[in-house]
Amino acid sequence: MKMLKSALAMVALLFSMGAFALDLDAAKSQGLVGEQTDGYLGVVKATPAAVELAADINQKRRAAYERIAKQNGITLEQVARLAGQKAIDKTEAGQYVKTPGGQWVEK
Amino acid sequence: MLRRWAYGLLLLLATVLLLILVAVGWAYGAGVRVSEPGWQQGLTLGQWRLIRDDCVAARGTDLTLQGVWPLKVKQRVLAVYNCGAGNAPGASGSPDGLPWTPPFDLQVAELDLSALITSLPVMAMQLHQQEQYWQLQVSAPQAALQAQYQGAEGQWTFNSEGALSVLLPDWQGHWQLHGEGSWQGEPGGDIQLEMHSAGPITQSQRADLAAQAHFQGADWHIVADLVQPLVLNNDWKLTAAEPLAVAGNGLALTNARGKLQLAGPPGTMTLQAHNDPGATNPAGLEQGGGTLLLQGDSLGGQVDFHWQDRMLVLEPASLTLPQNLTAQWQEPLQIPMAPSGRADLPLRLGYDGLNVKTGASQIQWQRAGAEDASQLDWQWAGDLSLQGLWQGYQWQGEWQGAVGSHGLEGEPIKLIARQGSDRLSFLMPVNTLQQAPYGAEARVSGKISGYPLDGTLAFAQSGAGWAGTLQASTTLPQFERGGQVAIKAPWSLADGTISVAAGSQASIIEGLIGQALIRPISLRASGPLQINEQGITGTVAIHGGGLLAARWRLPPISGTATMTGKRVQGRLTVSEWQSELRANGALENNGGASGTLSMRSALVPAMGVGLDATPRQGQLEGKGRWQWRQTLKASGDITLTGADLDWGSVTARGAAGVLHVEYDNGEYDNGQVQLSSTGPVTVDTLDIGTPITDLALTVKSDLSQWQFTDIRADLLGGYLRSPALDWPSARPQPVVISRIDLAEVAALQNPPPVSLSGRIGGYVPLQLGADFLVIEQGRLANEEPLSLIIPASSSVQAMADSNQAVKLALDSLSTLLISDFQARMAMDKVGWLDAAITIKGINPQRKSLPVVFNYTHRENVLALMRSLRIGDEITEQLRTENRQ
Repeated sequence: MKMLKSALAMVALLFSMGAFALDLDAAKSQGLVGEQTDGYLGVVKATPAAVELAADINQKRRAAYERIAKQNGITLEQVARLAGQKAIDKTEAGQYVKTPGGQWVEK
Repeated sequence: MLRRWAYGLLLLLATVLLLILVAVGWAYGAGVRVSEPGWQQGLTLGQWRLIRDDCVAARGTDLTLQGVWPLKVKQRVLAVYNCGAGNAPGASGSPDGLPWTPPFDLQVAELDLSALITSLPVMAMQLHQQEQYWQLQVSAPQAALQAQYQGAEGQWTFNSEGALSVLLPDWQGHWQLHGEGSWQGEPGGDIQLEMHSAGPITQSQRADLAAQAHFQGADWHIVADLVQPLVLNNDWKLTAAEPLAVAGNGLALTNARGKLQLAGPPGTMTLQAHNDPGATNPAGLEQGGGTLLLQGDSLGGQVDFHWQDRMLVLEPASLTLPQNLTAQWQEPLQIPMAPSGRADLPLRLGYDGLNVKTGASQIQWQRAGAEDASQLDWQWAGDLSLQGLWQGYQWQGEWQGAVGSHGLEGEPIKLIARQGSDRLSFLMPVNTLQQAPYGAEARVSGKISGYPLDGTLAFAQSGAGWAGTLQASTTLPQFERGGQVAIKAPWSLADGTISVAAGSQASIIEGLIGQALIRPISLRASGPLQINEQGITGTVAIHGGGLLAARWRLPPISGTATMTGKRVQGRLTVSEWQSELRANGALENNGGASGTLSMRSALVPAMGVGLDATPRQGQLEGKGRWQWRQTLKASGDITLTGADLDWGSVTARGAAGVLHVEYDNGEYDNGQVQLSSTGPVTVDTLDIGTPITDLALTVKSDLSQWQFTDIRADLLGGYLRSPALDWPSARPQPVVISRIDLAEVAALQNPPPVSLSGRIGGYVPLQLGADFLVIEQGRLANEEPLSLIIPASSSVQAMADSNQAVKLALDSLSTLLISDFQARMAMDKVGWLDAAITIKGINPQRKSLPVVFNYTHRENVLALMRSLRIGDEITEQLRTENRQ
């Protein structure tokens, strides 16, 4: 029974992924989105799919940041800024990051 | 005696027989053919015919000879036929009165002259002559004629009256005819004709006409006049400024002159024409001339014309016509006066500021068929060019083709309208042009008000106006992708008002403006929209799918906009946010607009998607005014009540206040919004790990610079005060805290690790940077004696057991009466916190052992935060999110 539930969950996850024409890695590789110091994805080249993807990812990030902030007694913004720094650090070369001055540059 | 009587009888019979034979012989010689002779109270003939030149000129049925002297004939049916014109009157000299005949009495029950005059009904006729006094009576339903002729003096009279429909089936009205004269020697007489309420059945106009004719021999003249002006459609009246006078000799017209005047709201048109008495051949209308004069508010100009040799020549003229129309030709127009012909028509037409000029231009016509001479086939062929300024647009157009009684053919009509950067092209195939009702369909493309437009415009005459459908698409320039607008609007135009039908719709498909994804929007007319000089009247339903951006989203919106002339009332709701915005406004004479607005919304978590704070609950209400004069200005008050917000673990509960907001997108360079609190903004509880209660402050901001003043709050049994805090600020600003109860400080941890009492206070200079916090030389000190008790516990014992120095310190500090407490703290922009604490007191349990405790600490708070477990959680979030 437990295996059946797991299988159904996997199928549901696969379908939800298929709902997006673009995944995050592909979007970053194509230069459509990039990481920002505020901890959220930004849209580098606006396309409907890129905006949809960034909005979805950012909504999930915000929920996670809020949960972490509450668990650790700090603000959502503080968590988001820490996350932003980590995300920029983890960004692969060739992908876009936003400078504190607001410019998109290839890392 | 008997013998003489018999001889006489035989002689009489012979004479009668001879007379009968002579009569029969004369009749036969005159072309009379009889059949079915009989006797029934007199001689009867079943059929007879009168034949002239092998043509049956008359036919009779059931003739009865009822008497011989006077001759009395009764005829049931008499039909007369047309056997050609015969000899023209006067060609062999007109007879000098009616010929002598013996007395007779002729009765015809059914006289049929329809072969001569098609419309004449079957009539009854009585013709009686006695002593050369002739009497004629003809009657038909709704018509009668009586005539007398006195042969001795040659005097004749006649009277007739009846309904016009007897003679002209498509007309109504009555006629009265009277004539009298003499027919002895040269015939002459006078005839008066009156027609009352005469006019075609299909039209409502009626006229009273009077005509008088006089003739003497071959000379004649007629004067005809309208008794009263003839009222036509649309308040036009036709009058005879001068009676129509026509004179002639026999069939030859020698003189004709007339002057008609048509008067209406735009002015008068006077037509005066006459034949040319000085012509070489005066016996007709072959030569003549006249003038058409236009005068009035909307009419002007004069057309001189003349005709000769069957050619009508219109001299060059320039005419002003109603509806701002003008017509002009610079060369004489020569128009053949013939059933068939052709003429060049080089014209210039004007409408308002538009001018139409013909290039090649020729009209031709011919009779449609031999049966009906009144029907003409006509056709104009050529090319037209148009240019001019109209409705603020510069127009240019061209067309080449033909139009006539068989319709329209040719190239599509091309029109281009320009105004600044606006350019609209209309392409109208002539096969879309329709008659009765008139209409067409045009392809429209170009750019208007910066918007590209492509579509079709169908229009057709409808009643007194026009109606059609506009189907077009455009792209809003604000959209970088998508944003195409599809418009479908059935419309009608009448009395200067455009009515857009209910259900008309403009749909905007999804598209991008900057980095915001605009979901589909539709505007739908809930009822008819009336558009005229007073503005727009009607209601439009609005539905928008919302907006989506990387950090925020606006849920679907719906609402209505109700327009009444130059006023509009709008209502928009966002159901997911329980938000409603109402606005009304009115256009001003200076081209601007102004009005009021109000909004009411709950505070819901979904609003916080793009914020660093999450609204949990509360209510937001606002009222204000707005004004548009090249720039948008708005002002109003926003009232916040019962608001709960979370910034992660920092929470605010019970926030309330009134903010006055000013918006001007033309005045402020560094922020278009100015807001200031009206009275204090209050927060019941602000929990930053340490609960702050009863917070009150005033605020002023342009959204880039925030000024908080008169800050007051209760904190840990004490309070904090600050006269002003700016964010961001360039220098430290003091925050004073006082009466902090250390017992409440200890209670922040549960269970409290130490027992504290007493109160401290001091000040903390804060510099609030845009994204950093600096504490500069903050100082705290005791405001009264303090006490410290470290209760025995396993953890304390474990610490004491771990190190002898720690054990000694714990023993000294375990119970402490503190007389002097000093704490200094500072934190720089990158998070390095330096703290130094000095505690001086005695331990009462150690014989008042004096204790001085110094403690310093240095740590980077941000690095500490990064090193905490949250770093791992964030890393996991980032690692897994692509697979969520």
